Amino acid sequence: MRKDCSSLSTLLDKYFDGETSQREQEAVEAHLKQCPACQERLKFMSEIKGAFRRPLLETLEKETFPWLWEKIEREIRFKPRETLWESIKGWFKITPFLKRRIWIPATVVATLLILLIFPTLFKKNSSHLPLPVVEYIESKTNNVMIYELDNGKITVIWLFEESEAESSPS
Amino acid sequence: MKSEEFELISRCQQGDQEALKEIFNLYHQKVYRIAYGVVRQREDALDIVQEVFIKLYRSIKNFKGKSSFYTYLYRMTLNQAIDYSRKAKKSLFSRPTWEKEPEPVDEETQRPDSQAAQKQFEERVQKAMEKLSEDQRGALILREIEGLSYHEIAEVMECSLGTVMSRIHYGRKRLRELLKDEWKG
Repeated sequence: MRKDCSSLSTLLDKYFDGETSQREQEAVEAHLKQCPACQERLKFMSEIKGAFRRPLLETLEKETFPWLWEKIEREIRFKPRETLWESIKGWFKITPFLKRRIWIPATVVATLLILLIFPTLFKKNSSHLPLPVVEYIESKTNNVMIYELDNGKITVIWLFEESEAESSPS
Repeated sequence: MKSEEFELISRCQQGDQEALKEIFNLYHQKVYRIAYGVVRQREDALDIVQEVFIKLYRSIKNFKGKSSFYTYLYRMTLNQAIDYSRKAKKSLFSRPTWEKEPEPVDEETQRPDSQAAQKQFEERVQKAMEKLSEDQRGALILREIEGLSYHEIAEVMECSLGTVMSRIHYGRKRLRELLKDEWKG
C-alpha cells in the first residue's frame, strides 16, 4: 500500500458506491492506475458485496410469502376499536399532509382578514374624536351647544349658578 | 411523494385495511430484503415483515410526511429487524451447542473459486457482518442490498451524511480485518 492510499481511503468507498464528484472520481482513477493494492481492495469490496447479496437474491426468487397478508389481516382485525372521543376527534382531524397543504392558503386568508378588519377597528376609534359643533350660544346665565352625531343632533345646555358674592347686594 | 401513494397513506391513516394491503403489495419485498439482510433466516425475516406491517397500520397516524414514506418504512423495518436480532442473540445462549457456531472453515477451500467455497465465503461474510456495530451493519445493508444513496441512508438512519460515510467506511474496514485471510491487499 502506498503512502497516498490512506488519504484516498474514504474516497475509495465513495467511488465504489458511485458517490464521488467528477474531480474526486478523476483523482481515484488516476491513483488506481498505479496502485495494485487499491485495485485489489476495490475488487475485494465487490466480492463482499456479491457474497452479501447473492444468498438474499436466491432466497427472494423462491419466496412466495405464504399467507403473509392473511396473517397480517387477521392480526389487525383484533385492533381495539376507536373510542367515542377518538372518533369525534376524527371528524375534525385533518391529515398532516392536508395540514401542510392548507398552511399557505390559510396564512393568506388570515392576512386578508386582518387587512379588512383593521380599518374597521380604526374607524371605530374615530368616534372618540371631538364632535363637530353646529351651533354655540353664550349668555350670562347659560351656554347652549349643539353637536352633530351620526344618528342626529344633540343639544347641551350649561346653566350658571350665581355666586353668593355676586348675588348679595353690594 | 406520488399522489397515489399520498392517497393510499391518507386512506390507511383513516383505518382502511384495503389501502394497507396495497401498501403491502408495493413494499413487502423491499421490507423482506432489509429484514433478511439483518437476520439472515427466512422464517425470521417473514416474521419481521409481518410485524412491520402490523406496526405500520397501528402507527401510520404518526407519519407526518416530513420524510419520504419509504424512508419511514425502511427505518421502521431496520429498527424492528435489529430488535429481533438482539432478542435472538440473547436466546442464542439457550440453544443447543451445535447451533451456536458453524463448523471451522477448511483453509484449502477459502478462496471463492468453487461453488462450495463460494458458499463458505458467503457464510464467513455473514458471520463478519454480525460482528459489526448495529449502525455500521444497518448502513451497509441499506447500501449493499437496497442500493440507497448516502443521502437516503442518512434520512433513514436520521443522521448526517458524514456519519453515513463514516459508518460505511469503518464497517468495510472492519470487514476487511475480519476476512483478512481472504484478502491479499
